[in-house]
Amino acid sequence: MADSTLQLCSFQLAEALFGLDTMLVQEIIKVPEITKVYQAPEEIIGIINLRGKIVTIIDLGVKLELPSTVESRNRRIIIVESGNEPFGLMVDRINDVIQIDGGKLGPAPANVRVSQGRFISSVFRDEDQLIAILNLEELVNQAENKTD
Amino acid sequence: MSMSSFIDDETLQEYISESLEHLADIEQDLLTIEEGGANIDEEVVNRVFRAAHSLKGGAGFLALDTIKELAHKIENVLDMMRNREIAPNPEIINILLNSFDKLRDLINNSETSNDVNVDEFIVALVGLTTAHLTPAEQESVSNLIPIIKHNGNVIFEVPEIDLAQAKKSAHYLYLLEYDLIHDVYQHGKTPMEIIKNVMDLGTVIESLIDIDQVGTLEDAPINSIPFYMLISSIIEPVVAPGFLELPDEKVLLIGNDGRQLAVEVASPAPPQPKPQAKAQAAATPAAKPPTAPPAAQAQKSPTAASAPPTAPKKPKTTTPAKTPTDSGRTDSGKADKNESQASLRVSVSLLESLMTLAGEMVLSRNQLLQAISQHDQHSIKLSGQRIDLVTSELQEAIMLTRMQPIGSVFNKFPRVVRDMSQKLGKDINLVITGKDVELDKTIVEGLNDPLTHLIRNSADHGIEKPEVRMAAGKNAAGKIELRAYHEAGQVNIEITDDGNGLNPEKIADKALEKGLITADQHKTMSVKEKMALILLPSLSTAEKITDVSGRGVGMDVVKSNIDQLGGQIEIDSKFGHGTTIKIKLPLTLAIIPSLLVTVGDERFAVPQVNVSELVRIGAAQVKERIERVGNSEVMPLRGELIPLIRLASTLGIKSTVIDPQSGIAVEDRRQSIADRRSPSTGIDASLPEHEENTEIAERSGRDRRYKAKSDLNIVVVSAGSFKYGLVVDDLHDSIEIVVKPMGRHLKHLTSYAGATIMGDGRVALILDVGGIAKLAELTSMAGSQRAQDLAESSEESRRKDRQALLLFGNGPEERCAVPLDIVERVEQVMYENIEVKSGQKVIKYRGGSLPLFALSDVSEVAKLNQEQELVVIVFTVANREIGLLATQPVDTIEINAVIDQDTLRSTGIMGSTIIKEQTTLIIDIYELVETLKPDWFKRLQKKEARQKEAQRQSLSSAAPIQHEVRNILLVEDSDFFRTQLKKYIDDDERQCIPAEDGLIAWNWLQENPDGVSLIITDIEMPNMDGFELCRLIRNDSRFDHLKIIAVTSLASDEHIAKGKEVGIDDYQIKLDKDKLLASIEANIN
Repeated sequence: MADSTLQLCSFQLAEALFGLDTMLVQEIIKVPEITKVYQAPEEIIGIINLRGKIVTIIDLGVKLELPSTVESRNRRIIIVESGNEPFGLMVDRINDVIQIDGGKLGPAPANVRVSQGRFISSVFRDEDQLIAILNLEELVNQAENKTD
Repeated sequence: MSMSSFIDDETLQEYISESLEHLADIEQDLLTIEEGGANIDEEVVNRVFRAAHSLKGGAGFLALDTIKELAHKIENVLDMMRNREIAPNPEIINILLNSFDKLRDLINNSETSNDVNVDEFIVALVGLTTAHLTPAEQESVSNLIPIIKHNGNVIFEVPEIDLAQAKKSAHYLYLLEYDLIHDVYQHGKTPMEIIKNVMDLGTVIESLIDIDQVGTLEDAPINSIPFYMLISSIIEPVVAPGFLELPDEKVLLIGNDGRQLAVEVASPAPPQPKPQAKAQAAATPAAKPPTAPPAAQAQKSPTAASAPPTAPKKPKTTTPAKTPTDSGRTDSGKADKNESQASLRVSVSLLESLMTLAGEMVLSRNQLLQAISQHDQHSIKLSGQRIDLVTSELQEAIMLTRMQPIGSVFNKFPRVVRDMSQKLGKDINLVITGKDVELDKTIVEGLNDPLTHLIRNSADHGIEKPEVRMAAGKNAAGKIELRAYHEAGQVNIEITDDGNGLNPEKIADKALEKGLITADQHKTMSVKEKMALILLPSLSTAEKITDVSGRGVGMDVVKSNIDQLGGQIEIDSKFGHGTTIKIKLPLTLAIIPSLLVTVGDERFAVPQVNVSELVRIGAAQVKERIERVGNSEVMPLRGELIPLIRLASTLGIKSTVIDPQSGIAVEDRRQSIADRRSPSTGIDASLPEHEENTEIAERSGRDRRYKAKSDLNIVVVSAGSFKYGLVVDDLHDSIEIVVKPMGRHLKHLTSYAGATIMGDGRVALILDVGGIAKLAELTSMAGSQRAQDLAESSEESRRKDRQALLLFGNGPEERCAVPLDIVERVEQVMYENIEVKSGQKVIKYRGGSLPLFALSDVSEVAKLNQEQELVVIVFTVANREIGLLATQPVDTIEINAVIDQDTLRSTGIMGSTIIKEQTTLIIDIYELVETLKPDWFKRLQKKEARQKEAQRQSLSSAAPIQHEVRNILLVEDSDFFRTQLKKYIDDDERQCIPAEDGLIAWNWLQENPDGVSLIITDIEMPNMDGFELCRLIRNDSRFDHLKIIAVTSLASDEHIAKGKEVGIDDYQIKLDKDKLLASIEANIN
C-alpha cells in the first residue's frame, strides 16, 4: 500500500545505521572547506557557503552522543531544511536509499539512552538491518535550546 | 466568507500600501489644522478628507466593512469641518487622531479588521457630527433610505443624512454598477484604478460587491461580479458614463428618495433630476475640471427642496462625545511595529537605470563567454573589467532602492510631542530638520523605537514644566530639536533639548547604589563617563515613573537597538541646560567595508566603522611598547592606555608562530604578548624564546617572513565610547563585504556580527568588536575603567586638575612655561621699541609704560638678543601690569606636570618639567618681580622687619618664633598646584600643611584640632571633595573659629553658591597670588 511505504536515506555514524525520510533531504554534498566558528556549541563544526547561502554544519555523531564523525573520503553532508534555514548534517557514510514498509516500523527500543531517544522517531527492522529513523525537527531545535 | 477569496492579494496589497501612504502625512496635517483653529485652511482639510475618502472607497470594494465604516465617519467630521459647520479644537483633533490611529491599525491587520469592534470611535465621531445638528437632522442620521433599482432590487441602505450631505456639494446621485469581470479585468484595469477614477469624479457614499450574485462553485461558471457604488457628482448625466468608463445602462441616476429615476440617464433627452439642481449645474462654470473634489463653494448653494433641512447651523458648545480611551493609542503603538511593509516603492527612473545595467550585464557576460570560447585573453580581460564596472554600478543602484528618507520616522514625532505636551502640561516645540536624509530601509525601520524613546525622554524628563523653566530664567516653551545630517559617510541624528540636562552625579550615585560600579570608580570617573552610565541596563534616572515614559525600559534598550543597527550613541549634557544625544549610523547594513585580519588559518572581517587605527609594533619594540598590569596587557598610545585583547586566546584559536628551525607553523604557547618566561614543558621547549627567534631568523636569511610573524599587529577598535586593541596575526586588505546572517544555532554568539562569503568562495566570520570585548570580560564601562585603574588609580583624578601652561622660549634653546591662568595677554614687540629708563626696560603700551623684565635679569639663563622674534607676556603682579620678555614660539598646552623642584631651581624659576620631550623651566613670575622690585611688595618690607626682629630674638632664645608661625591647612590634590600654592603662602609667618585630599585633611584635623588657623581647599578632589570636607568642618563645633577659603581654577556662580551654602568663606582663583594673599590676610585667625 502506498500509504505505508517510506523512502529512507540511510547513512552511517561510526557503526550505527540511521535513516532520514528522503522527503526531508535537499541534497547530499561532499565535505567542502568548512569555516570553524569558535565559541560555538560542540556539535557545530562550522559554516559553509552553499551557493551563496551560509549553512550551519552539525556533526551528527556529536549531536547523538556517538563518536564524532571521522575525516575520510566517505564523509558526507546531508543538506536539510528546517524553519526556512538550511542545515548540513555531517555523517560518516551515505549508504543507500531504501523503500521500507511502514508496517515494519516500531518504537525506539528501550535501551536507547534517553538523550538519544528523543532524536529517534522510530526504528525500522528487517532480516538483516536495524535503522534508527531520525526526527529532524528535534535534532535541529534541540541544538538551539541547548545553546541558549 | 472572506472577500479576498476572489479579490486577488495584489489588490489588497496595493490598497494597504496606498492607504498607509495616505495615512503617513495625516498626523502632520491634523496638527496643522489644530494649530489653525477656527481659521480653517481648506487645502489641508481637503487633503485629510480625501485621504479618508480614498480609504473608504477602497475598503468598500475589498469588503473591509469596519475600515469603511470608520473611514466614513471620519470623513463626515472632516466634511463638516471644511464646510465650517464645526471648528477644529484639540478635543476634536484628538478624536480624529485616535480614529486615524485605529484606522491604521485596522489596515495593517486588514485580514481580521472586520472582527474588530470600533464602536467607541464610531460613537465619538458620530457624536461630533450630530452634536451640531438640528433635531430633524439628528433623526436623518438614523433614517435609512434604501437605494432601489428599477427592477425593485434594493442594493443598499444609506442614512438619509449621508445623502443630504452628499447632495450639498454635488447635484447628481448615481448608482454605478461595475462588473469586475467585464468592466475591470477584461479591460486590463485593476479595481483600484477604477475606484480612484470614480473618486476623482465624485464622492463615494456607499459601495458594495454583490456576493450573492457570484454564486458557489457548483453553480454555472461565474461570468459577472457586480460591484455597486453610490456616488454623488457634479457631472452631467449625459457625459457621466463616458467619464466613468461604463456602458450607459450601468450608470443609474438616483432620486432623493433613493429610487432610480424613471428615465435612463443616457437617453437622448436626459431627464432633469430637479429644476433647481439643473439651474445650479448650469451655474457651475463649465470649464471646471470634473476631477476636482466636490468644490467647497458649491455647498453654499441652496439645496433641493426634498433634501433634509439644512438651515444655517450655529456651532453649539456641546461637549464632544467621550474621547476614545488610550486603548486606541496602545493599539497604534503596536501598529507601528507592524508597519514594516513587505513591499517597497521604487522610483521608475531608478528602476529603468537598473534595467539598463542589467542589460549591460548580460551583454558583458555574452562578450565574456565569447572571449573564453575563443581563448582571446585580451577580450577576456576587457570583459572582466566591464563586468567589474557594471557590477559596482548595479550594486549601487540596487542599494539605492533600499534607501528611504528618514522623514518616514521623523514625521510621527510632532504627534508624539503634541500628545505628551498635552498630557504633561508642558509647552514644547519640536523642530525637525533633515527629513530628506536617506538611510537603508532596515535602519529607518529600526530607528523608530529608539528615537521614540529618546524623544519621549526629552519631553518627559528633559523639558521642565513652564513654571520651572521660567524660574530658571528660560523660555517657558521648551524646545526639542531633531536633526539628521550626513557626515563622513555616516548619518548623524541628534536629539537636542534645552531642558534640565542629566545630572552625572545622580547617575553615578544610582549606578553605585545598584552595584554597577565600585566606589572607587564612582570617585574617579569623568563626567562624560558618568553620563554614559545611563546606557547601562536597569538604570533609569526618572525619579518617578510617569505614565509617559519610564516604563521600565531604559536607555539600555535604546543602546542595544542602536548597536543592532551598527550605530553608536553619544550623550552630551550640561546639567541645567539641556541634553544632546547623538546617534551615528551607517548608511546601509547590507554591504560594509571591512578590514580583513587573520589569526592562525582563520580569516575574520572587522567592520571598518569600528576600526580607528592600525598599529604594528616591531618585534624588538614589543617589550617596551606593551605594558603588563596584573594579568592584562595595555599599550600606551598618545597618552591613552589601550587595553589589549588577543583575538586568538579570546576565541580559543590556537595561534601559530613559524618555528624558525623547521619553518613550520607551531602553536604559540605564550600566554601573553609580552610574555618572556622560559618554556617549561617539553613541547614548549621546542619553541625558543621570542627574541632569540628574531636573531635566528635573521641569521637564517628568512627574516622578512619571520619578522612579519613576530611583529605585533594591533587593530585599535572602538566599541561605543571606549577603545581597545585587538591583537591579530596579520592585517590584510580592506574589502567590501556582503553581510549574511548566521544560522539559528550561532545567532547567540555575540562575538560575531554575521558571516560573509569571500572572493574565493570560502566563508569568513565578521567580528562584533563589542561582543569580543564582552567575551574577554572587558565590558565597555568596566573595561575603560579598568584600563584607567591599571594606568594608575590617581591618574584620573589628577587629570581633572591638569594645568594649562603657556609655553614660550627664552633664548634659542631654552623652553619656559608659566601657568596660563595668570597670563593677561601676549603681545608682539619689536626689539627697537624697547627703551631703558632709569635702569628699567619699558615699552610704550596702551598709553603708558609697561615695565619689562627678562628671566636673565634674575637667573643664569641665556640673554635675549635682537635677532629673535620677541614677545611680551603681560602679567598683573602686585596690582601692576608687567611684561616678561620671551621669544617665539608661544604655545599653550594642558598637561599634568610633575615638577622637579630641585635640579633647576633658581630665583624666578620654580622648577622644571618635561613637556613635549623638552626640559621646560616653570617660571615663578611673582618671585621674579619680587626679586627685582622688592619695594612693590609692602608685605615684603614688613616681613624683612620681622626677620630682623626674629634674628635679634633668636640670639637670646632657642626657638622663640615658633608661636608666631601660623599654620594653614592646604588641601589640594594636584601636585602642581599644591607646590605652587605652598610657595605663594609660605613665609616665616605662615606655614602650609599640605594634604592631598579632603579625607587626609579631615583625618589630620581630627588629630590636630587646634593645629591650624585657616583652611585653604580645592573643590574637586578624589576620596573627599572640598564641599564634603567643608560640611564636616562646619558640623564640628571645635572648628567654629576656622575660616575656609576655597581655591578653584574656575569659579562658576553655581559653585560659589554651593560653596557658601556649605560654609565656605571665600573663593579665590588658584593662581591669582595677590588676591589669594589678601584673602589669607583677611581671614586668618
